[in-house]
Amino acid sequence: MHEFSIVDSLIKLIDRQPFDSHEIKSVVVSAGPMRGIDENCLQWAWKETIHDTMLEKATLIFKPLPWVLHCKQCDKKFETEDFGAPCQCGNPNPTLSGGDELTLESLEIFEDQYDNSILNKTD
Amino acid sequence: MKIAVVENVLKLNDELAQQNRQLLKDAGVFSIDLMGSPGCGKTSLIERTLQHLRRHMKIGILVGDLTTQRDAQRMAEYTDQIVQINTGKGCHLDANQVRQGLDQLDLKNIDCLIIENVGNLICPVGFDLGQDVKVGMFSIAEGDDKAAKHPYIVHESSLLLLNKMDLLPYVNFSIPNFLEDINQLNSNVELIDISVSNRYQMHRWFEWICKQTFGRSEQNNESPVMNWCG
Repeated sequence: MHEFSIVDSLIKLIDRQPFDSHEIKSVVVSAGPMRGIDENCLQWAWKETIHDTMLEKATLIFKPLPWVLHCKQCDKKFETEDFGAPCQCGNPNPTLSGGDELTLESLEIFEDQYDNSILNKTD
Repeated sequence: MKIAVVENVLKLNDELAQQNRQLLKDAGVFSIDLMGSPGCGKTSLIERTLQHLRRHMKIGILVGDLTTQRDAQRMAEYTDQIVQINTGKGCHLDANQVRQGLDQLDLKNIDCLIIENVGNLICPVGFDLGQDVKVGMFSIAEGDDKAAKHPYIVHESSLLLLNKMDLLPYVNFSIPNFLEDINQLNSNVELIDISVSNRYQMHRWFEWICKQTFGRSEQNNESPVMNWCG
């Protein structure tokens, strides 16, 4: 249930961005499998948390990332959906080297709001 | 209109954690974030550690639970440098809760701080508290597949403890399978198999704590505790 904490942190981070929360149409978050995030739970936490707030119209888009394994035999890194996958060189036990990302990738602003947004000011 | 941001979602927690880290460093405190599932033996380990090491080093405790003061009450017999943090519905500690706990401790009179996280193999791992090291704790009773099923705690830990070794004859637990999973997830992690209840290999844990706490600066290498640890 750390999804509620993650959403709480995400909203605090969004509050730091140079837009009013009601201008935000969607929020894109990516996370590696090591983070143990359940997407359904994350979406539920998002909806529960933004209810009756300035972010109420914002959609959360979750992008799961793959495991990244490193083969010590051929010194290659490769992405895989299966954490137990062997390397193409035949090594059955490549070691874990990535998959712990948790990133706010981007925000989408409503077009009509964008005309007045801080980014459009040219002075 | 899409705007790229690319920031760590837990950035604000991590900033607070960095402040905690500096606070602890300035006070000369070595700190451990102890993580493991409910019932793996975290509180018993700390009790035994306090019993054994309190004459040799000053240990402070932050202990996280959803509710009750029971763990703090158990440990209060051995130290008054203890704060119970109740997280309510929260399944892990965060840097802000730890900061509030640190403010209630006399850090100048602590050599080693053990933060017992909420019993959970998943959620605590991603939240930096400002600790020096993370220690993950498993137990024989949980089964040999728990490392593979919870890769993040293995990957992020500097030390893993495998507790309840005394139960090995009674439980279907394959040590080789467990070690193979650990090696794939984190080939650099140190592992100590122990039994808190019958004290099997507890000296290795005590030595590890002593070396981490006092062995990090050259000037302290001659401390009585290091000599005592051998």
